[in-house]
Amino acid sequence: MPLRPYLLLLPAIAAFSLFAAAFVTFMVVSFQTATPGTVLTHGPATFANYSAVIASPLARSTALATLRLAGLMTLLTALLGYPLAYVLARSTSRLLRRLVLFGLIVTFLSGGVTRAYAWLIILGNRGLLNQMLVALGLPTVRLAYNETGVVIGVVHFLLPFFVLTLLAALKNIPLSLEESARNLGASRWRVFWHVVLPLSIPGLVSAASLSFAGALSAFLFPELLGGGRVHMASNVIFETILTDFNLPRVAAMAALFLVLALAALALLGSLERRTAKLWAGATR
Amino acid sequence: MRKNIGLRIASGLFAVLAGTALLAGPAAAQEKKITLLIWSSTWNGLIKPLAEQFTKDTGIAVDIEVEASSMEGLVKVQAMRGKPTADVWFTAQGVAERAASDPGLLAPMPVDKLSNWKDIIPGGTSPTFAAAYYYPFGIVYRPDLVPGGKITSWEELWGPGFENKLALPAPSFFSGRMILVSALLAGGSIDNVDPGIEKLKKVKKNAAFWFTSDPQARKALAQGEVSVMVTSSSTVKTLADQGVTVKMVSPKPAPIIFEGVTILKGGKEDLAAQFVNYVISQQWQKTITEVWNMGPVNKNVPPAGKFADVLPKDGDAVTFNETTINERLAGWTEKFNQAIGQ
Amino acid sequence: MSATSGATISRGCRLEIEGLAKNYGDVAAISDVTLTVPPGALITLLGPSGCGKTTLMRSIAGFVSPDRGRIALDGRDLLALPPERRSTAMLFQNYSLFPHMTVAANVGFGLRMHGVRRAEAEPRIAEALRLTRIAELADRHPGQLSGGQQQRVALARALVTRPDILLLDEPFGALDQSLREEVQIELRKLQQSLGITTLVVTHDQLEALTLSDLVAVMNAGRIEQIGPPIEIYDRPNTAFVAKFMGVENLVPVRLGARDGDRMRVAAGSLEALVRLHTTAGVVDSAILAVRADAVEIASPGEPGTVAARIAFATNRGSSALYEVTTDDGQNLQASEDRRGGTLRALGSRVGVRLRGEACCLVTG
Repeated sequence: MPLRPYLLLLPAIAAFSLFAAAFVTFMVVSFQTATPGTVLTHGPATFANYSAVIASPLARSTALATLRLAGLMTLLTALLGYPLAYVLARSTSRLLRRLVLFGLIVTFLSGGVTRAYAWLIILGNRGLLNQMLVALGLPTVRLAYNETGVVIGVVHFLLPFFVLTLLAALKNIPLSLEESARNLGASRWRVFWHVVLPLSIPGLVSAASLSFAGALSAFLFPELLGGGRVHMASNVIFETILTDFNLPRVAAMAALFLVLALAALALLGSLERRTAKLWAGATR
Repeated sequence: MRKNIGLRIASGLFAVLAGTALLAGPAAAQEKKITLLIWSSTWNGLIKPLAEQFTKDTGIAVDIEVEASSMEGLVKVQAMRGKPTADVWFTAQGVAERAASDPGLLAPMPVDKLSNWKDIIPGGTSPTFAAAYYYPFGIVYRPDLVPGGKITSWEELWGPGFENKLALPAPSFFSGRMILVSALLAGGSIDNVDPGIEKLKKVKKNAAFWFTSDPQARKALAQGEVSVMVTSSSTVKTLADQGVTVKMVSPKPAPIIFEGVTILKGGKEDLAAQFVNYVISQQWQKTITEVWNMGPVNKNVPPAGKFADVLPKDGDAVTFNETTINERLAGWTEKFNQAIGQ
Repeated sequence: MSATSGATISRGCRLEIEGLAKNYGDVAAISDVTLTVPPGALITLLGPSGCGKTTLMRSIAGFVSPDRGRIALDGRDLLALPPERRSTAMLFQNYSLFPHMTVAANVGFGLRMHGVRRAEAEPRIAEALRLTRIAELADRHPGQLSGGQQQRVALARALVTRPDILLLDEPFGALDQSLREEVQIELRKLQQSLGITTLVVTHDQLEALTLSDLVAVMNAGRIEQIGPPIEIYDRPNTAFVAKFMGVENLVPVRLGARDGDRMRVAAGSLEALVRLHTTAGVVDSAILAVRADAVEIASPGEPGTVAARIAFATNRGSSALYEVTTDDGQNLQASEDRRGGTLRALGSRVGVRLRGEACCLVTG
């Protein structure tokens, strides 16, 4: 067998091995015991960390909160993102398409920390929105430093991922199908409901899966916009490292959250495959 | 404690990875040279000019290695156990306590060889740690934004006029000092923080947010988003440098936090000890309090004028057993999150 | 598809288009198109790609908004209505069946959108499926059908709503040549039996001739000529139409003396007496459209012929196609019945003449 292709793959293999090694190390640690007061761990292998995490009310409430928030974020992202993707896929106005795309790309390119601070300027207690409310003689609202702020920040972060993924799927739906439906007497809205939406479900599910994965792993926005009140998985893992310093325990917690996230994504994935298959039985 | 969020994230990641995959450092250089493991801000703002003078006096060159946070420093120190690439480690007292529980890391302070050791104020030493400075944990506020322009006690923060106006540290910040202060105010103690957590529930309405990022909270204070930030005294100087007028009060109970130096086991303990002796000397302590606006740990050095204003009154200061905090902080945090989270 | 019943019969509508124009930027897709289609007739828009025939059809369906002009069905103005309220049924080139619905659901879609109750819709769907002979496919999905079957579904889906007009966009383009003719005839029969006004877009002249009551040949956004297929075939008005109708020889000619409705024309030594269909446009310059079978090949030196020789010869089944070059340098394509014989030899000397009654004068 020729050696050359394998030599060319070497850098990729090396990089991948490094990631895999880090991951394996992390899994191994989750089965060890912490040496008190140190970052050192020792054997023998035990499930104690896992049972401790499963028994801990913190881990359970965190898992629930994370799933709930990620679900809410994904839902809102889909509700906001679908029309944007549709405009990008179908609008005949080049200006409108460019405007939407520009907005999304700017979001894509601006750093997370920058954006979090920008949201604070808008949503803060003395932020632009509240200043407007005050100017109108209305009571102020708490939009930042709570779940509302985190949801807004994360949804904004997820939108480009969602829209660009869905856009590809929408563009694959032939325009003639929509015209055909209108020709048969369907209004724009019913064309959307009976043709575009059902045909976009596989794309919608993959865009939503991507968003859900992004929301599950949210760290920065809960940290900066949550005001210490929003405890999603990554933040709790991080906080536990800082306060407990029990690496095996934290590794077990992270592993369990990972399993939970993978299970949720697998569920979405099977949904996607099922719809895709149904439609594919239908399209050539 | 003063590190930004990015560094904290980085150090968290590093803790997970490097803490397990032990990285072997290169062999220590043989000439008369010591290496400090130090925060870059501390090195650039304070120690660098002093170290040059140290080299001139002793002929010992000083090199540095940077730690992003105390925790990352701990991970590094453990990773290079036995063959450290650094000889003197700057860290928080609590972290030094953690490190001391691993007998392979820190050398005991050679008390006999440290002529200035006897001058260190109470609470600033342990067998493996010498404080370089201290700072009180108290109330930093905007006089233009608080009722009456003045705050004199912790209890006021629970009262009217501060609704949605307080930036309070999350438990992982300042090693749970906010919980401890609250516990002492409510009649609890380090052994029973439950009354403190109950009391913190009552400040929920006033708390704009619980911060885990110093710069974020400072920015909010500077912008008037909040009028009060409970934090360390270094914030006063940082904000003053930005042209924001703030005042600080350290009412009873006023936790005192020490940060300082440890000597790493690695064969250069003697050279390192000479450096430690300089750190706690009268001359260096004078610079530390005047330039850095921190509390001097040498009893012969009075706190600089500006700093004296923020110091707790006699008898108001408290210190806590760092080891106990280390053991219990995770549990406190969990209780806190359940009481305070949405 | 031959049997009809009351369920699907459409009344034929009169289609009127007046002064229709549409520009894309500086490019005129259609300019000043006017035509009338009588109720129940089938008209074909014939032309090369880019001639505006698709734009015209999409204007009727409502997917293109013309800049000027008027479109009316039985006097009702269409342009003010959105596509879904025009009662036009369009068959898309790729059939555009809904991949997520069964055949029956595809066919029933229009009825559903029109709010037809299920009890009424089901027999109509069944009837449409029966008419298009795909009743057994009702529960399949489009992905499981052949191209021909998909087309029948699309047709059933279009007819079931009893549209005022049926619009077919290159309806046979995706079918095999062998299937194409069969389906064309079937469609024509169905259209005639239903009496539905139909407009077909195509670039295939044979298709246009096979299907149509009327053919409108389009070129560069305009209707070049409109009329019954035989008229278009026999008497093209312009060189463009002649060429599109497969006329092999377009010969620039000098105009000679006029004799009643005939005129003598000459190209070099070739002469012909041709019938004038119109007097317009043939005054200054003229082109003679000569089909290959209007070029007669005779023995060399025969009276009334021009001397020529065979430059190229090829077999076309029962006839032979030749390229002949006259001695004064005129090239012509000529076809001749072989009568069971062999082809004429290359280079052999012949005489040629034009059969004037089979030629016609066109503008350039």
